[in-house]
Amino acid sequence: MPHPQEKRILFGWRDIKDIGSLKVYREKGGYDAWLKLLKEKQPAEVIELTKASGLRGRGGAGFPTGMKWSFVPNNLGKPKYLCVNCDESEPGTCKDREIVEHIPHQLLEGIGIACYAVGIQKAFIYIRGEMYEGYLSLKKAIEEAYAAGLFGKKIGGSDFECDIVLHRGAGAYICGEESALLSSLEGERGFPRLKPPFPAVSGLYACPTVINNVETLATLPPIFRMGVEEYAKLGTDKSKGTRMVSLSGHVNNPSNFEIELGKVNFKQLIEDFGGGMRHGKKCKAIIPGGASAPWLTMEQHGEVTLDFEAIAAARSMAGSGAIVVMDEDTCAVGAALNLVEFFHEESCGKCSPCREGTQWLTQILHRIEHGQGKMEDLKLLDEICESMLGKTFCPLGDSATVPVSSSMRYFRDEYEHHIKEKCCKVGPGAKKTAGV
Amino acid sequence: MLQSRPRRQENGGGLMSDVTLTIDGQPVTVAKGTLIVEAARKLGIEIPVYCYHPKLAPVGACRVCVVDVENQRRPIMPACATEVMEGMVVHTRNAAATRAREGVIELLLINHPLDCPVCDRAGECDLQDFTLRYGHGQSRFTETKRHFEKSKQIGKEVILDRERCIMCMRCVRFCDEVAMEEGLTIIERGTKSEIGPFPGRSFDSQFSGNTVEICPVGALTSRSYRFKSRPWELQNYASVCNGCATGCNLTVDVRYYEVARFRSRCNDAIDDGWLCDRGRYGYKFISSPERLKKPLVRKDGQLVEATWAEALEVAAAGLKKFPADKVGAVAGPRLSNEGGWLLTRLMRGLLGSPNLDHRRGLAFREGEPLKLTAKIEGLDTATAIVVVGCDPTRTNPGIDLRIKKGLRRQAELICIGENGLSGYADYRVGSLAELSEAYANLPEEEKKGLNYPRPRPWEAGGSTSTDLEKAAKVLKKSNRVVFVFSEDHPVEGLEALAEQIGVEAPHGLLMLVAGANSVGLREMGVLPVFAPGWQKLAEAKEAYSTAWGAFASGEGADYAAMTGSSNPLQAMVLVAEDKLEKKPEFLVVLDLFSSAIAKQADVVLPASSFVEQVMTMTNLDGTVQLCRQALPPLGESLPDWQILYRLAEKLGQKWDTDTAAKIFAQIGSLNPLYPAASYNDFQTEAAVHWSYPQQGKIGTPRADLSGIPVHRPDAAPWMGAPDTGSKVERVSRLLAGDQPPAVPGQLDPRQMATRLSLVLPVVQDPPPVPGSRITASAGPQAPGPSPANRYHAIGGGARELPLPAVQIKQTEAEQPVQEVTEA
Repeated sequence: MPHPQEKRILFGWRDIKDIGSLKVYREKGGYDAWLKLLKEKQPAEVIELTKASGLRGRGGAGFPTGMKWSFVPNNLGKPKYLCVNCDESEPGTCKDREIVEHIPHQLLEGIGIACYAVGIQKAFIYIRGEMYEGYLSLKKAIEEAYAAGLFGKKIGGSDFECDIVLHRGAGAYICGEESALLSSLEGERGFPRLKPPFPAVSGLYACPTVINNVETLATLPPIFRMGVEEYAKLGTDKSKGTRMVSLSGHVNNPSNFEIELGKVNFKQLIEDFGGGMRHGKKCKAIIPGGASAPWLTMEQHGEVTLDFEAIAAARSMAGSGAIVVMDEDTCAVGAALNLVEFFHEESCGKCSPCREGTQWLTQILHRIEHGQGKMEDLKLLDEICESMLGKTFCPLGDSATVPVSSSMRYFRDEYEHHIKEKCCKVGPGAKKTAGV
Repeated sequence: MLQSRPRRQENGGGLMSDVTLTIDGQPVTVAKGTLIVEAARKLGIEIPVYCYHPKLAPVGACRVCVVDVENQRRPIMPACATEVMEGMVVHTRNAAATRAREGVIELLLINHPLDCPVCDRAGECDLQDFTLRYGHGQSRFTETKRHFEKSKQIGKEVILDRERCIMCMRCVRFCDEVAMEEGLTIIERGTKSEIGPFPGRSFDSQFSGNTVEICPVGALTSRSYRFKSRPWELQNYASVCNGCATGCNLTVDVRYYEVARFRSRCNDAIDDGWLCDRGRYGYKFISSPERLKKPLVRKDGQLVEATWAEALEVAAAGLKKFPADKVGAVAGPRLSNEGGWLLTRLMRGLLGSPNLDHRRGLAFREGEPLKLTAKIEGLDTATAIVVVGCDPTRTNPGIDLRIKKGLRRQAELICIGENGLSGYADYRVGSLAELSEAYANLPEEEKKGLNYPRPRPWEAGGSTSTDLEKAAKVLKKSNRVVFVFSEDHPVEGLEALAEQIGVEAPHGLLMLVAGANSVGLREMGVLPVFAPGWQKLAEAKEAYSTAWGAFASGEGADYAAMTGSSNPLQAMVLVAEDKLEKKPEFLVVLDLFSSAIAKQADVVLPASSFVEQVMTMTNLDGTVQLCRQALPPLGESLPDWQILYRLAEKLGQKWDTDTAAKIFAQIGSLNPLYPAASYNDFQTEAAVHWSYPQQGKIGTPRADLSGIPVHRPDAAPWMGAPDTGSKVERVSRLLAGDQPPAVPGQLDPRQMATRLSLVLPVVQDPPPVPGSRITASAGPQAPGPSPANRYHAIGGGARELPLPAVQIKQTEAEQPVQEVTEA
């Protein structure tokens, strides 16, 4: 059941029984918004309406969706493609999975709207290989939609035609990066590509390509059902509407929630939505937007509202909306090591700062964590982060420095404790003092 | 396919406009689309690079080229992958750029083993050089390095050391982009990444040596060169491969009078910076113990060693014994232009015999030469390439790479008959006649096809169409069509089709010839029915009679007649030719090896190889190129032209062309295809292009050098300073302690590499080689390379050593023939 304080737009139909089937989705009025646009609006008008809705990309960067669409040139004489980024692998993020498993038709309708707006006749869904349930549900939905004439040729009696290809990834975090996704989709190694040229001009198979996140596209049908003006009234001035947050970590009720942007702060999120901290502990740190986002602390940032601008002002980023909560017993060094190990494992190896830097960071943190650290290591960590930040090919390398630099920003004392006392400062790893 | 498409258009695409930017405070104007690293090079500002290679698409992986660009969201940008923009302000030496570069180098070194003392690349290693120039003084890395099996043979010639690899991916990209083969790939990811052949396969490529050459570190080494030499012990000579008629430019690296390796010497017009393995590793014959070192003369039925005077005497006497029309000569395509010229003079001018030929195919039919308008470069700009019944992958690998370059740009490939390129063909057609017919049947106005990148056969799994009409339409796109065919296969109707299309130079017919200097020999008149330069014999008679005293202008026996079983001749001179079914009564053979034919000869004269003499060759598209002398002739062997000169002397004529340079000058004055140029014209231009005439009419002079792009690949002049005498400076002897070091006192950090040599054992100078005209002594030092040319355009960044350049005074070209000192 939805949480009473949620603002459900995207997930409005999430809990309807069998909404994953075309029959129920159609009965509720699904696909009507798209078919209506097909009949009544020109593609350019759809782009303008999307701009007016203020919808911003939900994949992490928060780029205005309508603007992204309008960058696609029409005069190249090439086919255009839509790539749906369903390679959701940012640690802590699980919103797209819920969308494709429960409301696949809503995603397909969103794809239809985007394709119509940009004039695309072929859409590719790149779904993370591990999301097998989601794959099955999407596969079934696509088959149903084709059978009902919603994809293919002459959709809804119009001249518009659109095909959908469902492609499963093979397990690489980097393939969530849009250009690596394109490489992988083309059957090449999942390496990010040089930009420019940007995908909007030369993307998949060197053709103009729009890459949108699942949540972004799945939000489109409800927006057009309720009207763009209504949607634009939600949220803040610059962060309009609602978005999914995936709350996880040391809270009593980890879950996906749809919240109105800018109306909820971290304290409320944890207390009201998350049901408070587990075992009544204190909240120590928050990762506000997936593993790539700099940490925030409850003490300093509890009042920060969940919207793109407020989180950016707090020197972090809203990212993918994955909010990981750490309680007071979490060792900052251990948590940072955990995250850096992830980036080390997932570094694609294309550029040297990321490939070598993640290894070095992991090795040093591992040493500190296991009581072999030196005080000089802290300066070295800072400098390795500096050598990597802004020098890597894609944002993965930047992200890998984030857990180190942000945890050292707020919890440097824990690092020093680890080096001096050869144990954690807090939590079960802390050495028990004599007599206790 | 590793690299993401689209690739940067190699030549830009549309209108080229200029962009002005500032690098380190200096303004520079370059064409739009230029990369920052290239613009900086124009200013002489060095930006270190590993993954960047001018012949490969930018990848931006190693990040060592980072520079600071003002007003950017991410100010630290890779110079190798960032195109210049109007008004851009770039800093390569400010604090931010320096710090970023130091950081990257430190990171690159954390897993790199410090095994420079045992690494082949030390001394010409980009990682070593750039670390010295731009890196931290010491490493702060105290963790465990990544370890792999130390050396692993991955191909016939290639050995991989994965620990040394810095993952610049040049080798992988070469296989992928240039050779377009599944050669090397990246296995695993992140720090576990390693280079290797695809699992379960070995690196079987006929271009594998290029990966070794472009590897910026010692990760890829070649079996032939491994542990054989140090780069600073090598003397480098510009030369030209004589493996096939493509004429790829190479550098001969010599260590102690022995060829240590061949390297590519990029010539954009010919080889584009690549060599095939056959050419690259084909130097071992030069020092083969099987080589002929002394003249042989048949005595009592046995070939026995003789002196030059004796052997030449016997040869001359034998040739004089028979009437002129019973004497003939056949030359193999190894022979130089100079040798070919003197052979023609010997036969037509001195002996009065028109019987001379060299192995030939279809260069001329019915008395007319083919209109060969195509240049190798033309393949780059062609819209269609038709491979007609030949297999360049087998006969001329350099052309294979060039065709692939054309395909990557815009050309569509039509293959007639099966060949090594069939898998890349857009269309496969059964015969040229079919294609011509389909072309003739096309309606006049045919729409142009869509030009957007379409999946090409090699990307789409090899599906090719046999649709004749579509293939013919490809020929309609433009007149930039190149027909690649071989001299060995019939090409009926090819000229007619080319004419219908209206091809113009540098497109049109490109004939593959097998022998290195086949084209040159034809143009030197080693033909029974033409005078030099394809002139009619009767027309040429007057000029040659004046110059040579006499000129036999009749038509003689051709190759088939002379080498066939009904050979009518009684005496023959065979130069580097190994086919002869019926031995004449008297046979003189000039060759490097004692071939089956040589064993039957009456006189065998040992010839020098192409690295042992100064000579020119003309490649299959008509480019005349100079080979420098890198070694003294082996044993008592002599360059072919000298042998022929001496033979003429014994026959009673003392010619005035007693140096190779004089022969070349005479060729220029008499042969209408060759300009009045001298070897000195090659001095600054390692390859001079005398293209076929633009209108496709063979026979008009092609002497006009103006307007023809001249490539200057090698900064070093081919001859030493004019007045230093014949001196060779042996660098390693200086370093080994025979004399005080050239720069006493503290070594400049840039010369650190030379310190490594101090651990070498003292190397004695080799004993003087008999007949050598190169003497060893300390000579003057040339200034070190300037920052601009410190790294060579091709073949790996900091290739030039921070050492004084070795200057060789070459005497061969200027020194007249001397009396042979009898051993």
